[in-house]
Amino acid sequence: MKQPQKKTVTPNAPAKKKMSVWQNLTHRRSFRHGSLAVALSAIVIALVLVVNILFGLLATNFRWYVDMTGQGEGLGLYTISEPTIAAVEAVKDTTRYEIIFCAEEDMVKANDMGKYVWHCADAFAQKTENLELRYLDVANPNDMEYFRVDSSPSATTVIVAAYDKDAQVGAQPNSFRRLNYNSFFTSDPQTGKIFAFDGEYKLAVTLLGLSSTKPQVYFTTGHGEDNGEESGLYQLFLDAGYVVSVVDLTRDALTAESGVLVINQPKKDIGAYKDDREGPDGPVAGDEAYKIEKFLNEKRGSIMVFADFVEYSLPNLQEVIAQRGIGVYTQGYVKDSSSLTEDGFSILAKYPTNENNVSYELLPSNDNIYTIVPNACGLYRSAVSGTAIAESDDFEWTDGGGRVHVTSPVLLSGDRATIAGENQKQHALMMMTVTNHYPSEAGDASEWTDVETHSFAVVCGSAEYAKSVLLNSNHYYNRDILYNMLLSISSKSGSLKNLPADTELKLLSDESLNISVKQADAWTVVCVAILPAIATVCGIVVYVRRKHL
Amino acid sequence: MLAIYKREMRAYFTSPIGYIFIAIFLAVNGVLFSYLTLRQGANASVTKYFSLLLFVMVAILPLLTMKSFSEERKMRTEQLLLTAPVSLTAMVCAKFFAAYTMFAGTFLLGCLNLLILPLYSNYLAPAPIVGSVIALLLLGGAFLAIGIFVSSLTENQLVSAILTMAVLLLLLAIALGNSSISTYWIRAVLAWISLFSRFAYFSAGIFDFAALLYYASYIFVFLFLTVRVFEKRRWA
Repeated sequence: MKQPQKKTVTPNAPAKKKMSVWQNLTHRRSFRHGSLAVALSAIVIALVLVVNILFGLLATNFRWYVDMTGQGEGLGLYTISEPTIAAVEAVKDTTRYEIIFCAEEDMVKANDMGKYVWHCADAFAQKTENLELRYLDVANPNDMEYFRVDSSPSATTVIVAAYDKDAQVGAQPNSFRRLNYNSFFTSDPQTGKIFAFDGEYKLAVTLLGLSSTKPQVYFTTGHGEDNGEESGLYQLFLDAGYVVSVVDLTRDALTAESGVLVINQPKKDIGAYKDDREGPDGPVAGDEAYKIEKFLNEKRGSIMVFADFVEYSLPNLQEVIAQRGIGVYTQGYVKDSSSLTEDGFSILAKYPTNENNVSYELLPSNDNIYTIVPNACGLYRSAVSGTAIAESDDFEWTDGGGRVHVTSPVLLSGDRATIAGENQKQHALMMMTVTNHYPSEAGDASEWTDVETHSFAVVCGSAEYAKSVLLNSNHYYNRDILYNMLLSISSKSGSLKNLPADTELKLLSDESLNISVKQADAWTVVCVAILPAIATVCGIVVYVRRKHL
Repeated sequence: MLAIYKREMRAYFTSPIGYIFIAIFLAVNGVLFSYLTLRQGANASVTKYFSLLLFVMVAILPLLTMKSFSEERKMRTEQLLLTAPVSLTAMVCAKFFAAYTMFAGTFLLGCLNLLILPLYSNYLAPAPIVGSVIALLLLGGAFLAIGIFVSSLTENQLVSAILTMAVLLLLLAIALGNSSISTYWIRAVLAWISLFSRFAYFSAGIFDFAALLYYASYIFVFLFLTVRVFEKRRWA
C-alpha cells in the first residue's frame, strides 16, 4: 500500500502573505501583458492628456507663467504697471473696451511682432475688468463692417474699440482706433532698426483717448494751409475719432465750446486784429484775429499753431499767440549741433525734465526716443518782457482780464543752440500755455457749470513738425506728443495727470555684436576646436587604455 | 536604480560613444555659434543659433539612445535585465537619466560659448537666452524619451537611430507646416501635438508652467510605454 507523502514543512519559514485585491489584480498575466495592460496604457495616456488640457486652460486663464524679461524695476515686456491698470479701470463704469486682432490667435502669436502685441494686450485683458480680446477674420466683410476707414484693415491691424458698458458683443463701437503692429515699436531713426517695444504706453493712451470726450476740431483755411485729407495732422485727428471740419474765419463762426482751432502751415497772415469792429451780422470779414480771441476766451477754446514765422510774415498771428504768453523769434531758425542734418536745422528736441513742468507728463522720459523739429523758430515767454527761456519750470502769470495762465516749454533745443542775434543758448521749440477758466467768469455765467476747466494754446515754431512724413514715422515721437496733448485737452477733468506717466520704453534685446574679424576668428578657434579636442583626446586615451584590458 | 544609472554612465565614459557624442555635439555647436553670431557681427542672431541647434539635436540625440535597449536585445543580455531584482520602471528611468545627464552636461558645456556675447554686445537681454536654454533642455528630455522607447522596439541600433530621427523629423515637419493650414481647429490640434510650438514662448522670455508640464508628460508617457513594452516581454 502506498504511503501518503508527507508534506515537508521548513521550520521558521515565514507564512505566505495574503495579497490585497490591488496586488492580486496587478500580478495577473492579463494585467502585465494582456488586454488589461493595453487598457491601462490607454487610460494612463488619456489621463495625461486630460491633465495637460485642463492645466493648459487654467494656465491661460490665470496666466501661470513667469515673465523673465523684467528690466530695471522689474516690469517685463509682457507686464503691465499698476498705474496703467488703474488709469484704464477708472472708466470701467461707463466704457467697455475690445482689442481686436484681424487674424486668428495662433497666427497673431506666430508673427514676430504680433506675439509682443498679443502678450501686452492679453496682460491688459487679464488685469482689467472692462477689456477683452477678440479675433476677427480680415477677409470677412461682415467682421470688418464697422472698422473700415480709408482702407480695409490687414492681418497686422489691431483695432482698439470702445463701447458703452452695456453694449452687446458685435454692436457698433462708439469710437475706435486702428493701429498696426509697427505702431507698438520704436525704431532708431538713423538705422531703422527696431530697438524697443512700447505696447503698454501705446495701448494705454489709445484706450484712454477713446474714452474721453472728443472736442470739435477746426482747421483754418484761406492762408495757404495744408489741410487736405493727405495732411498728416488732419489724419491724426481723424484717426483719434475727433470731429474735424475746415473753417474759413472770414465767413464762418467758431461755435463749439471747448473746441480746438488748428492753424497748420499758414503762408499768409490772418486778418487784421481789431477788437472793436462789429458789423450788423457780427465781426466783419478780415477780423479773423478777433474771432479767434473770442473763441479762446468766451468758448474756452484751445488753439494749436504750426507756423514758419521766419519765412512768412505773420504779425497778426503772432499777436494772437502773444496774448497767450508765447513770443516768437523771427530773425532766423534755431541752429543746434544736436541735429539730424549737417546744417543744424533738423533739431532732435529735448523734453522737460522738471516734474513741476505742466507738459512733463506728455511723454515718458527716455534718452532713446526722439522728436524731430525741422527749421524751427525759437519761442519765448512774452508775458514777461526780456525773459529768455532757459529753465523748464512753469511760468504762471495773469493777463489784463484777470485770467490765470501757466506757460511752459514742451520741446527744447540743446544747450548750445543759437539764433542769429540772440545770446542765449537754449531755445524752446514748442510751448504750451494752459489757461484756467473759473465758473464765475464774466460773460459766460449761463453756459458753464461750477467746474473749473482749462484751455490750451500750443505753438510750434516749425511748420514742418506736423508733416505726414514725421507724424507717420515710427522713428520719432512727433505724433505721440500731439496725440497726448489732444487727450489732455479733451479730458473732462482738464488734468494732464490722466496719462500713465511711469511707463518706460521696454528695450528689446539687441543681438548685434561689436566684434572685429580678428577677434571673431580667435573665438571661433576656441569654440570649435578646444572643447571638442579635449573630449576627443580623452576618448582616445580611454580607448587605448581599455584596449589592453 | 542608482546602480543601473552608475553603470550606464560608466558605459558612456568607458566606451568611445560618449566621447564621440560630446566631441561631435560641441564641435557642431561651436560651428553654429561662431558662424551665426561671432562672425556675423552686426547681423548676429542668437535666435537663429538656438533654432538651428534644435535641428542638430534631432540628428545627434538618437545616437545616445540607439543602444539603450537595442544592444541589450541584440547581445541577448536583455534576459538579465528582465530577471534582475530591479523594477522595470527603475531600470528604464535609470537609462533615461543617464542619457539625459550626458546630453544636459554636454549642452551646458556648449553654453559656455554664450559667455562671450556680453563682451561684445550693446544690450543683450538675458531672458530670451535663458528661456531658450531651458526650452532646449526640456526638448532634449522629450527627444531622449522618444529615443529610448524606439530603442526598446528594435534590436538593431541603426534602425533605432533612424526611426527616432524619423519620428522627430515628423514632429518638426508638423510644426513647420502648421502655419500653412487654413483651418483653425486643425492648426490648434497639430500645434498642441507638436513639441516645438512651445519653444517660442521660452525663447520670448516667458517661462510657461503649462509647457513645463507638457514636456514632463511627454517624457512620462514614452517612458511609461517603454516599461509596458518590457512588461509584455517579461511576462509573455
